[in-house]
Amino acid sequence: MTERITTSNSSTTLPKKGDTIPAVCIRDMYFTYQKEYILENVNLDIFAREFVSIIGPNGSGKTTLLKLMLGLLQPQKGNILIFGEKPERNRDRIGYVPQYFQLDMSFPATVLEVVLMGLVHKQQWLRFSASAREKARDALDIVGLGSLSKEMFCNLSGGQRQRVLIARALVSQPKILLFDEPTAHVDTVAEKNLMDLLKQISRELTVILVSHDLGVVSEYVDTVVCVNRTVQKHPTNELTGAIIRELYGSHIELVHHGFIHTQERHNHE
Amino acid sequence: MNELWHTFIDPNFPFLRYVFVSGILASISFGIVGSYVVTKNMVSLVGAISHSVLAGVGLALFLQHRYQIGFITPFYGALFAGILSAIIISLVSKYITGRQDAVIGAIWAVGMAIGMVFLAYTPGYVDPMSYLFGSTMLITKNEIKNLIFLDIIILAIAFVYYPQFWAYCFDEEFARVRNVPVMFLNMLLLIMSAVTVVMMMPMVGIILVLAQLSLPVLIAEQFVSRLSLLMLGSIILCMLTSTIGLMGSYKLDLPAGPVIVLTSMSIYILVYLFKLIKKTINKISP
Repeated sequence: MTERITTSNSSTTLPKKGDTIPAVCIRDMYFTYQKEYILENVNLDIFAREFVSIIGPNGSGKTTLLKLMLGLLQPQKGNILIFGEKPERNRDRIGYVPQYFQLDMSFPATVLEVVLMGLVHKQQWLRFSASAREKARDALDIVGLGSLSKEMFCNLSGGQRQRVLIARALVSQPKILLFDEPTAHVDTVAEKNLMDLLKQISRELTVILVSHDLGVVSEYVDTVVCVNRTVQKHPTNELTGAIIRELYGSHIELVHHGFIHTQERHNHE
Repeated sequence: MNELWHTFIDPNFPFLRYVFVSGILASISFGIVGSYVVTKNMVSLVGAISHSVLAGVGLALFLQHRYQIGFITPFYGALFAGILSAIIISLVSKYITGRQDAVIGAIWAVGMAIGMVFLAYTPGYVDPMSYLFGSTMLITKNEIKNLIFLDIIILAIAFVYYPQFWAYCFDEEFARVRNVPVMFLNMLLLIMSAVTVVMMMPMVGIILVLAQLSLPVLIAEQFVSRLSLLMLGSIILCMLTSTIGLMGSYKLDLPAGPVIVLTSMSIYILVYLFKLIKKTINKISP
């Protein structure tokens, strides 16, 4: 496994290895749902305030990798550490943004209430404290939806819903933000706004997003993690057609907005 | 109506008062648990629990009539079977990953089968119909005491865990990432559903109970914007429909359970049509 990290051409400065505890540190990890390994011999370091996209063809294990980082799944072999601790022990530092269309849209909740769900853990009884509400409003301001706090969640557009979920992840003041396909199911304008917002957030937090669409994210992220059973990390500016071809198979053109997905699996080695 | 009122206030005839009061009391738990169950989309799990409650009813009647164990009433038998099947179903939904749907369906039917076998062994003739579709004749003063007790427990749990339940019903995966005890809540909610089903058993029966659990919530959902109001609205609607249904059944001399369920359904259809017409009018003349 190679680990090439260059800081020279990057717009934001990446902390060098050894600087701090890595935000994400994966060592010799194997994961399987049944028999065949979905992820094999994964070694990966992601540093604080890095802006990373995890890419790979459908079925490559990128969402699985995300769920492992969240502590929703446990590896069969190897370790995953988030800021030096197991993910399930360090969930206060993790913000998670799922895909909005997986949610039940008829659930009765206002925008502010959805954001407050990000603070639920120890909350009991009906009322949230004034400071919790204040935090939720601040988080909504960050994503630019401060004016919509009393609106029903289900009445928002796709892009707005995605932003509300970002606010819900930010409200607990995490150190690392994990995204599942942030640009899926939103239109081109909303997509660009969303990526600008994530870029801005990534100045203060480690932002990791899973995406199938390299075209859009490559303009924004510092590093790309290619997943296809094995995992390799490349700085975005070193990403070449050859690497992409290796990842997705041979019939791939490096164009904006979409790859032709093939189920063919290619290893890096 | 006058005649009904006179019977209602007749001091020598407390039975009718018990029926109406138990409808009102059961509605409190129904509105709360129903709101959680409907928003979490687990009505079919509760269906499996409510049907397998028959196993407990059968067992209790068998023990009562065969071995003269008087304190095991069908109510306690139902409560025991309901809670047991709630625990089994919550374990199934955690540990069985494939074909969960079919396993739940099997539990649904097996519970009823066990109940019927016990009833067949029970000496004398016991009519399962009154447990399946409800019979207000089963309601006694003791039942009212049980209802009050269970209402208090369910209200207390629902209030203490409200935010956790709320986040869990909206987005279970996110709740897990926030360290909300999802597995515990899932089991707790199923047990609460089991208790609620048993509470309403004499009124609407274990088969019709699903409709009375979900219809008031579906009606209330058309008007409210938050979960706490959904609960309040469902409680009021459940009280309203069970009272109207009971009055209707008395007037028309029909069994109470079906009339209550049909009352709820009629209101739901009316509300739905009203919304549809309003929408169409808005479209034509903006």
